[in-house]
Amino acid sequence: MPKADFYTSIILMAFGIIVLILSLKMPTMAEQSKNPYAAPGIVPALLGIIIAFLSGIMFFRSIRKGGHKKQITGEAIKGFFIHESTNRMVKTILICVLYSLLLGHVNFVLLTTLFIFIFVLTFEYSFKERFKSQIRKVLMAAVLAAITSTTVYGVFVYLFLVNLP
Amino acid sequence: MTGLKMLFDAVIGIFNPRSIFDALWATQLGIIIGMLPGLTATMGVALLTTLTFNMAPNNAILILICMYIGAIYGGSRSAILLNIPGTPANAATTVDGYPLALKGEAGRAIGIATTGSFLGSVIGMLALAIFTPMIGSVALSFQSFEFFWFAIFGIVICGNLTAPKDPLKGWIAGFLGLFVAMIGMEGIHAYVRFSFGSTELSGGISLIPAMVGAFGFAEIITVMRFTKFEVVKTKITRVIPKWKEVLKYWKTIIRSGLVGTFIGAIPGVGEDIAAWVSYDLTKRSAPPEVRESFGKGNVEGLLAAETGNNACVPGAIIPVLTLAIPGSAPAAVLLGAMLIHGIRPGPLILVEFPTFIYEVVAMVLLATIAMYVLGLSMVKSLVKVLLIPRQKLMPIIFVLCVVGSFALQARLFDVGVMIVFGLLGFILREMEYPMAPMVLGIILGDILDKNLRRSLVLSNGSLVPFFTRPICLAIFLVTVFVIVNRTVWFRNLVGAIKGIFRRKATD
Repeated sequence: MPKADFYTSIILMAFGIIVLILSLKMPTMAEQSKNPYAAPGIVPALLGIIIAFLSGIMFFRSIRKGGHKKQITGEAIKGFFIHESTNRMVKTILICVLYSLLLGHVNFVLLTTLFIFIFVLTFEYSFKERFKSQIRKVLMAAVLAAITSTTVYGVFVYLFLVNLP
Repeated sequence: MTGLKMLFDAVIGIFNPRSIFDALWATQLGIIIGMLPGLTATMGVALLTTLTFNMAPNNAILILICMYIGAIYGGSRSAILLNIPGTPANAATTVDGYPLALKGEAGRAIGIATTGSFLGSVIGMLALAIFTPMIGSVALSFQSFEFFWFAIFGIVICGNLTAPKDPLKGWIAGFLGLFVAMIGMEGIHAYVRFSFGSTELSGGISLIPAMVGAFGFAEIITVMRFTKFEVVKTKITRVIPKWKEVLKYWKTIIRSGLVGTFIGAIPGVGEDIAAWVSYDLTKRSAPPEVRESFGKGNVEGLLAAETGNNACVPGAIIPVLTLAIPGSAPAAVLLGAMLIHGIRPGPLILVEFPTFIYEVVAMVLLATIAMYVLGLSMVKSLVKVLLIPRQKLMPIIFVLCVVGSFALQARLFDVGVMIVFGLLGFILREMEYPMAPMVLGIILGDILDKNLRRSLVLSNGSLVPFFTRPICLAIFLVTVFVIVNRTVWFRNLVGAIKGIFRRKATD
């Protein structure tokens, strides 16, 4: 963790300073004969300073714990990516983000059916086994996907009177 | 007396068929959501807010309160049967609940947890009814100076208590949350900040999609990473508890109820901390020979944890109503929902919506009764919910997260907000930054912004009133103490002083 803290503290310090600079550039509204103490930049500037200050403390603390010295080895990175939990996490994020990006461009019911079908099979289907032995899984996923997407559509559009993307 | 009459009217008014029906389904849904590891009360309340925004305000708020109370209680089920807390609030429940289930006493444990939750909720509800009008009338005298300090105090205490290891990370998360609230058009001059030309960002980041992301999508990613859960194979026999067995521990119940309510009322500090503190106090107050049985299936420990976390729920609603500052993460969503429905919580609530406080008390009462009745029935059939595989459940939850985020304002931008906050929430949690202060920050950002600038205008730029007004000075000193208390040099100093006194005593 000291290594991660070392890098995040640098990013956060930079973030705090950028917020401060952007806040100072904001108009004070004094030229519109308004009270300068109500300038829009005051609070964000204060927040920028506090964020930079707190991450500064974290920066020095991580250095004291040797965070800057620790090397990220190639093996550690490889180990992280090979690990099953990373694999599952990446798959989940990819499928979900892709679904959200396609929303509004593809018919909602069709897209949602495909999303659920692919999501379920990504974690259930095994390419090492024969397709024939997994027909049941595929059919179940298809049924679940179709029922869910039509139910969500029906409930939202007709019951909650909400437009869907 | 008018207060009592308003309470009486509200209680009579809430017991109508429509409300009872809503309370039953919403509480049952809450119990199921609470049971499923990964689905939290915050997520449940946030998702239901999006589904109920077309309803009449009182029906919608009742449903959300039922979801909140149901979910916090429901989490005890998986804590007992899976050794995995259904919501973070039930982490302390696993310590003694799971060993009881392993001994074959799962039914008894569920009965005790249900009764504890019920009694905790009742104690919290009484506190809500008594203290809300009192705090509300005091809060009427608060000015911008006080509200500024409340916002800062909220972030500091929340960051301090919710960060798993390092309060510094809690405070950073809180101030990042405050920054998120700065994005978009500000409330005094309508100047657009940090939108970089985007019309969508100029409207600001909406709380609900951000919460659905941070507590929904982030949880989905976390849950999908885990390996399998295993349900304890045990027969669930008698669930209805023996009241004698529970009331034997009346001191524990009252203590945990009061502690839970008090912790609930602290800004942003929620049910998980309430349960741990109640549990810890009970363990410490037990005689040494009994203390050893804690963690091995001690009924009193289980009772303390469940009483504490459910008492926290009404406690967390007290500052929502009186100061518009949420006591916990689900209460933050509840506050957002009230604003969506045109109810403006805060000091003026006593003037603008005087009956609303008592209506909320009546809603908590109905939800508590529904929780107790549902909690003791259909136990065996509900356990099957725990057997649904994650890969089938999570995509459905994600679809609801997407639709829920979109539904409020019908813009795809909010779906983007949900995704970004989900990823951000996931990364921050992996790096041990707590989410509660960040959420509190998003809510308090507007209060901090308006009140600091208003105060500066009122004092003509002078900082003196921030430290000379009595309540301001008190909050300021407590805030400084909370920060200094966590520094190494302060602890060394306290240690040194104690050492001197000890030496003097031995001399």
